[in-house]
Amino acid sequence: MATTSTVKLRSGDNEVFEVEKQVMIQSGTIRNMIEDDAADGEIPLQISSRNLAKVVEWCKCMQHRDRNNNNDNKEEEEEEEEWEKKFDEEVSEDKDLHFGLLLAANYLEIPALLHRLCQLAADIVKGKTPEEIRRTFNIKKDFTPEEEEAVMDEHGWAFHD
Amino acid sequence: MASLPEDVLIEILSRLPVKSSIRFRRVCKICLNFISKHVKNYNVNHSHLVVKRNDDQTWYMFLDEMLENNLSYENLNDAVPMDHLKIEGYGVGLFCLSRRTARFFLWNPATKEIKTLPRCRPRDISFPEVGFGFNHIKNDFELVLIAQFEEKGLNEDDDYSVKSLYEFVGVYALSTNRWRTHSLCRIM
Repeated sequence: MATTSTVKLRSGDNEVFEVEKQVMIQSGTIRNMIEDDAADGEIPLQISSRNLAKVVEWCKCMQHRDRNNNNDNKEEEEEEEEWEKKFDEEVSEDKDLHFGLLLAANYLEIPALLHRLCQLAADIVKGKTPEEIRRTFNIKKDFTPEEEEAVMDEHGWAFHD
Repeated sequence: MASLPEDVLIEILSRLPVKSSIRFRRVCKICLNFISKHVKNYNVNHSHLVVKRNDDQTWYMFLDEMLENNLSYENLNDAVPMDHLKIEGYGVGLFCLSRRTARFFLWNPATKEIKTLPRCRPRDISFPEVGFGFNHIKNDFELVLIAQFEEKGLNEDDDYSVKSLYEFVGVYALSTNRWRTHSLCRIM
């Protein structure tokens, strides 16, 4: 095992983040690297510094929460809830950040963060039209006009509110 | 901008309320496949308690999740978006509805979709009795109709019109969207 207690992450735009290993083992990808002793140098990541900073911040907050789980500190609990609420709001209002974090959480294998972001995404898109949804997630419409008509026909009896 | 990986898209779709997920079928092929399964799973995994009142045609539906929290229900006759409908039966999330003219519909209260079934032949039927449910062996929704059918014809000797009465059984299956008719026997 490596001797240092921190790990260095290099963002796609060459900013280096030095973070405690204990914090970053929430990421399956980074945990594997640490276990394989492949994390002694810097780990290059195809994630922008802005998104990586947010991921690191999230991991720190979650680790802090887990460590304090046994304490009955009302004040700290409220602080953490406040932080999570702010995180949700920030992500919901910033499409680029939300999208970038979804990709980063998927790539870094951080299930808790991915689930949170997916729930936020579902909340955001549930009232949108198919075209708006394609734009939001950058999805290509892969139906031919005939196929789309068939989908419409098959579900043409749908009542929409 | 990169596109969203398929497994992330499915993670998002799986968190959509069933009611609003219907719209997503038109987004792309992954969505279409996933949402169809999503709706089916919802209906299979969310048991409903359906109560029919004795005195009239009033039906109530209790959702299992509602029963856990606080007791609330839906009066289905108010929720169905069509007039003059009778609720004929219920099975695994779908209701079978009918109109006076022996027209049948399937209604999914979770998605608010209504499907009009093809007409059963013969058309001029009387005294229909209807059963509807989910056939677990065939994995299909089936509607069974037993009715009488009157056929008018001409007597060969003179010009009197005669009536013959038949009894028949019709079975509709959702997977084929077709009626099969059985044992058309003459009773008069």
